[in-house]
Amino acid sequence: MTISLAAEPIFHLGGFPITNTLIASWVSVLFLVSSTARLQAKGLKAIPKGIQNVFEFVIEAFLKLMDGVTQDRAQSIRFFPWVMTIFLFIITSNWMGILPGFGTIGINEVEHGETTFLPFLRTVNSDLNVTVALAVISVVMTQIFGIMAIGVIKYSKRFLNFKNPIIGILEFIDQFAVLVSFSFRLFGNIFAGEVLLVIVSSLIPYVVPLPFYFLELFVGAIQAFVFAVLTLVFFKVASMEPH
Amino acid sequence: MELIEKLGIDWRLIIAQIINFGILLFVLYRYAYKPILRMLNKRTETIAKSLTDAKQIEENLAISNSKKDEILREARKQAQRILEEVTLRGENMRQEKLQAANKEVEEIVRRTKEELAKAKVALVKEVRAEVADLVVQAAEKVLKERLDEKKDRELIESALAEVMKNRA
Repeated sequence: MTISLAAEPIFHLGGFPITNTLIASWVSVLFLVSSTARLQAKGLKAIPKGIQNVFEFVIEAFLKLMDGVTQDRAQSIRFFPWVMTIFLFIITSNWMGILPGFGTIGINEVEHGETTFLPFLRTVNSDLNVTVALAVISVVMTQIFGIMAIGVIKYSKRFLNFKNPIIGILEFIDQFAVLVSFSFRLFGNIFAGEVLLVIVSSLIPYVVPLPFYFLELFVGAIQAFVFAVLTLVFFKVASMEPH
Repeated sequence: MELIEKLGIDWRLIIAQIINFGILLFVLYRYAYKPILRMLNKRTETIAKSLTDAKQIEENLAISNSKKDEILREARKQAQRILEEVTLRGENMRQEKLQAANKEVEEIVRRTKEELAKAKVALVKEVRAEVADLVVQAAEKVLKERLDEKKDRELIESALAEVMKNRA
């Protein structure tokens, strides 16, 4: 039994590797897009029903939570699409990864005389490429929201601190630290969960893995929440005037 | 570099994931967040408006209720006043009528008495004249037929009888 840290390419498209996590992320995006399409197809009603209720509940609850951090409804609305989408994408991907078929359907590939199992689908966030992409989006948007809120000059003072240059350099390094911590936290948690499930399932395949599946549901939600709320906090901090 | 290879980091995949996320963000923003937030806002406004409307209606109701009560009280008071006035006026009128009637009756009685008195005087005058005539006639007759005692007496008696008869 080998567990690869990197996502395995299923095939190459003109030199571009189509990995199993990329396919899984497409499925995840497709799920959310089709949910939205269903919402649109039914049309928004003043008196909500079915899927509209779900959307409204999630959006309203999240917006309220964001108000607690920003203390400003207008700012919450501005940050909302990013934070909400990060949350929805991560939680959908994480929970989808627990579904049967993920990591279990695939082909055996013979490479260098060794047989490796190649699953067609793999939990999206167990690929560092995905988490790095999300972290890059979060950090880049943090800079953009900071500039939008207080202007380029004031915002750049955060990094070009002439009175105390060390602080400026530390702030600069901090952004990279955020990038790394964001990506490795999510990747680490989800990858570890995957490994845990694989090992437990291979040891005792019946009943015993069940609590671990519940644990993974919990971890998947918590990690999505942590990523989204941390992003929100960084947006908020960047939007405040430096002292 | 070996670590990056082991971790499977590939900038092309990172770009692909960013594009993925971008598409998701666009679709969700355009077709879910925006319309739903608008809907939620509208609903909040509607509820707020309904609540203020309800409050307004309640206030209006209270005002109109008190107004109604006031009008009713006023009307009742007025009715009472009118009733009193009418009663008073009726009483006055009755009193006046009664007085007028009394006066008229008195007047009639007075006039009747006067007339009666006048009639009496006239009658007496007439009677007196007639009696005088009768006496004269009787006297003439007596004087003409004054032949004997016997006849005289008869005449006088008959004349007297006549007079008496007339008088009665």
